[in-house]
Parts: sequence; C-alpha cells; structure tokens
Amino acid sequence: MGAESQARLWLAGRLAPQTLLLAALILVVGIVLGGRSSLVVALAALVAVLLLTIIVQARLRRMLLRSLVVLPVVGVIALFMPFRYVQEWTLAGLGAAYSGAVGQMLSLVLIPWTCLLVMLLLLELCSQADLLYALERLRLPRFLLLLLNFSYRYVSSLRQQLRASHRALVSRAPLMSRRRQVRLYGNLAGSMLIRSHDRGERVHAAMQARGYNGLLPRLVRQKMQAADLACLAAALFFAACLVLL
Amino acid sequence: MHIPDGMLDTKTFTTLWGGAVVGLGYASYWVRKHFDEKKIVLMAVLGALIFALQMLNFPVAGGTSGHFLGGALAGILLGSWPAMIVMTAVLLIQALFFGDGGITALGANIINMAVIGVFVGPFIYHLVTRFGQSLTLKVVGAAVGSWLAVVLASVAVAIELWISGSAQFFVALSAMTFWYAIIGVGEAIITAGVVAYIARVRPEIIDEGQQQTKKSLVSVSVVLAIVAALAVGFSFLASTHPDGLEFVYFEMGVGSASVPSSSIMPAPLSHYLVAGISNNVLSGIAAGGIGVILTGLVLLAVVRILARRRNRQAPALNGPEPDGR
Repeated sequence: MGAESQARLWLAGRLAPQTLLLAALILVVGIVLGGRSSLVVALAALVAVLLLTIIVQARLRRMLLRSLVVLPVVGVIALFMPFRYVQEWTLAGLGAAYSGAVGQMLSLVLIPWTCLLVMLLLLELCSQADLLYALERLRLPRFLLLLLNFSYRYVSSLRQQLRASHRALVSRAPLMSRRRQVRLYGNLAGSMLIRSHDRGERVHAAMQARGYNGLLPRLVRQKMQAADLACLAAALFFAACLVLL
Repeated sequence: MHIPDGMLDTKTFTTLWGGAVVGLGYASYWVRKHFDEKKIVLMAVLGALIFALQMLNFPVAGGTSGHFLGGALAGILLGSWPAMIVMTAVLLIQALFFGDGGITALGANIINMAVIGVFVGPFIYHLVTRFGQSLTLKVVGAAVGSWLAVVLASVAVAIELWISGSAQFFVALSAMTFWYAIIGVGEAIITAGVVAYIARVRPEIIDEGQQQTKKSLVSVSVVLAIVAALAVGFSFLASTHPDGLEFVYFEMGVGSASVPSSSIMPAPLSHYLVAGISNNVLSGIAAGGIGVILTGLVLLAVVRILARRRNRQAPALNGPEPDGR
C-alpha cells in the first residue's frame, strides 16, 4: 500500500461499515432534497463531496471516470426538460424556455452525478463484503440478505462464463445475423442457469454440512463507537444544511 | 431503465418507496410461507444470472444498445412474488455496489422493474398457456409477456419523470416507449430462448413457477391495488401546477362562478404541506410521509382482507379431511 492511501485506510479501519453506509445514505438524501431547490446547493454539495474525496485520499480520477456513466442518461433528460416550459412551439418560444431553465438543467445533471460520487466514495472506503456485513448490522431482512450473499457469490463466476461464451460465439460465428445471435444468448443463458442451479444445489448442501447459517462469516465484528456517532452526526449536520439552506 | 438519484422529486420517490416497501413486505411473507430453502438456490442463481445478463448489451437500431431486464423471466421461472424479491436483490446490489440506479430512486426502480416486470410477464404467459401447454405457446407467451413488461415499465418511468417535473409528459413517453419497444424485442427473444431451453431440458422448473403464479393470482389483484393506491397517492401528492381539469376550471375561468368561496372543512395537507412546519422541503417530506403511511395502511387493510377471505375459502374448497383429523 502506498503512503497516499493512509488516510483512506485509517478512516475505513476506524469506522464501522454500517456507519459509512448510513452516512452515505444520509448524504445522498440530503443532496437530493436540497439540490433540487437550488443550483447553488447542488454545486456546494458537489464541491464538498470532491473535497471529502481528496481529504480521505480516495482515488479521485478513478471515481470521476466511473461516475461519467450517469451523464448520458441524465444529460438527455436535462436536455429535454425545458420542453415543459415551452409556451409556443417556435424557435423564440424554445429559446425562452431554455434560457429560463438553465439552472434547473444544471441541477438535474449535478445532483445524480454528486450522489453517484458519494456512492463511489463509499465503495472506495468499504469492500463489498463489508457492505453486506453493514446491511446485516442494519437489520435488513434475513431472507433478502441470504439472497444478496448468494447472488454476490455467483455474480462474478457467471459474468466470466457469460463473457467467455459470448467471445466464443462471436469468434466462431462472426457472420451470424443479430437476430440469431440474440436467440443464441437465450439458449446460452438457459444452459448456464441449469448448470449453475445444479452446481449451486450441491454447493449449498456442502455449505450446510459445514455449518453455513445463511451469512458469510467475518473475522472482525465492528460495533458502532464514539467515532461512528461523530461521523453520523457530521453527515446529518451537512445534509440538514443542504436541505435548510 | 435505472433512474438515478435526483431525477425524482420528494413526493414521488417517497410514495414509490412506500409502495415498494409494502409490496416487498408482502412478498417476503409470501415466500417464507410457500418456499423451502432449496428454492433459494434457484432464486440466487437466477438473480446472479439476471445481473450478469444486464451487463451484456445487445445492439439496437441506430448504433445504440440495450440490455436485458429479466423481470418477466424471473416471474415465469419462480412465480411473481419470489421474482419480486430476486429483482429487488439485483437492484439493491446494483445501487449499492455498482452505483447503477439511485438510492432515493430505488423505490421507483423496484416498482418499475421488480413489480411491473415480474407481474405483467407471467400474467400474459399464464393467459397464453391456458390455451395449451405446447412449447410454441410457452415461447409465444414468454416473448409477448416480456415485451409488454418492458414497454409498460418504460411507460411507468416516463410517468414518474413527468410527475417529478423532470420531463415533459409526451416527450418522455414517446422517447421511452419508442426505445424500449425496440429493446423489448431483444428482451422477448432472450426470454423466449431461456424458456424454450428450460422447457425442453428441465420442464419441472417452469411448471413449478407456473403453479406459483396460479397460486398467486390473488397477488395480481393485490399489485393492481398497490398501483391504484400509488396513483391515488400521486394525485394527493402531485405537482403544484394545476392539472388539466383544474387549469380549464380556474385558469380559463370556466367554473369559477360555481366554486364556493370557502370550503366546508379545510384539507389537512393542503398544497401538500403540513401546517406548522415553515420549511417547504421539510413540510413536503412530512406530507409525503403521511401520504405514504396512509397508502400503506390502506394496502395493509386490502392484503389482510384478501388473506382472511382466502383462509375462509380454503377449508370450503378442500372439504373435510377423510380421516376426520
């Protein structure tokens, strides 16, 4: 580990994952509630999240690149949003609608982007296993938790298999029509489901034989302490500021 | 199809969260009652598969691409209520671990993909396979059901964006339905492919799912009640702009003469604000919360009445047990 990630490691080690998850959720709700009413608040939230990212020495460049994925969707919605305010369908009418809705358009782009940055920052501080543990500590229904654990366990292997099969399909039949390719995806998915199901049943039986109780084991069980409460209070204070400003 | 944070306003996302929580509560109750632990493996595998398939884009016209949604497939293979939990798990993983879809918009995403998707698809599939159990009918039912599920989910997204003030209704509706009608074709082909494959190789999986769907026909009514109650919730909590009728009545001055000068009893949540809270956002949240609780109570009452009626009907349908126990 390089020296640049010390602050991130310190924070992640100091705070329980459930605290980080709760703080992220509070921030997201605060940003959504406060940002929709004012562009200044949306901008302030973005700046604050970027500052926080720098302070905890998370990988900002990586986060920014990953967050760009949300922009095409929200960009298109923001682009067409001023249509709500068009009084008459002429160039002048459109121009007036767009000039009056610039602030709203920017807010509509900034809020989802900032919220995604918050969630990506959470992922920088917590591993996915930590997040599952946090959900367990936050009393998510056991049944749903069990399903999340299993799905999380199978996702990566299924994704790898699916990509390998897709590569094989494309390389062996490059001239196949799109329609036939899509139909083959169906067969591919069906066969993968059956194979995974059969294997999953065997693995499940084996896991139960070894004492599996529906949750993934974790060596360290972190409880909430004073630092966690301080972090939650700070998140609540910041979210309240965004809403009340 | 995944709505990010910030696209929906407070009253819309709180109402949809409320509807999703009530639906999920009933789904987990139903699954605990009817499902054994072995089925969880199938649910988890299906969840992971849908997750993986959602990452695989297929080409759509005009150089764009679409991805599989999977709600209809999950509904056909597992039955609607278990499929709702599977889709919710997929959406939760996507929102928390991959930033795909918002946290505040998760309720809306659950309603769009984990309620509309998993009920419409199996319902159409069940309707078509009533005419026979041939492979062709199964494939047709799966294809039509999944296509319709995708298109209706896109209509729901357009309505939610419109209610939230993020999009103009006809622009959102035409754009969403146009693209998702095309993407739905890919969804239909993949779903039909999976159903055809499983019907040939392991038909018992589909038959079990269909039995669950038959068992939960009441559940379709409950979901319709959820949607209706949500619509009522929306109309209570909707935009501060006048609706079409109000506009004609008040803005155009059509009915102003017939409107009484003061109402008999003031509305408790007039203009979607709670009296005594000066901050508009907080007041709107409080009004939304009250609306959600009221909607939830109505839904709970509906579910209780349906469950009680079913329990009363069950002994009459089964008849007395032969050995008198």
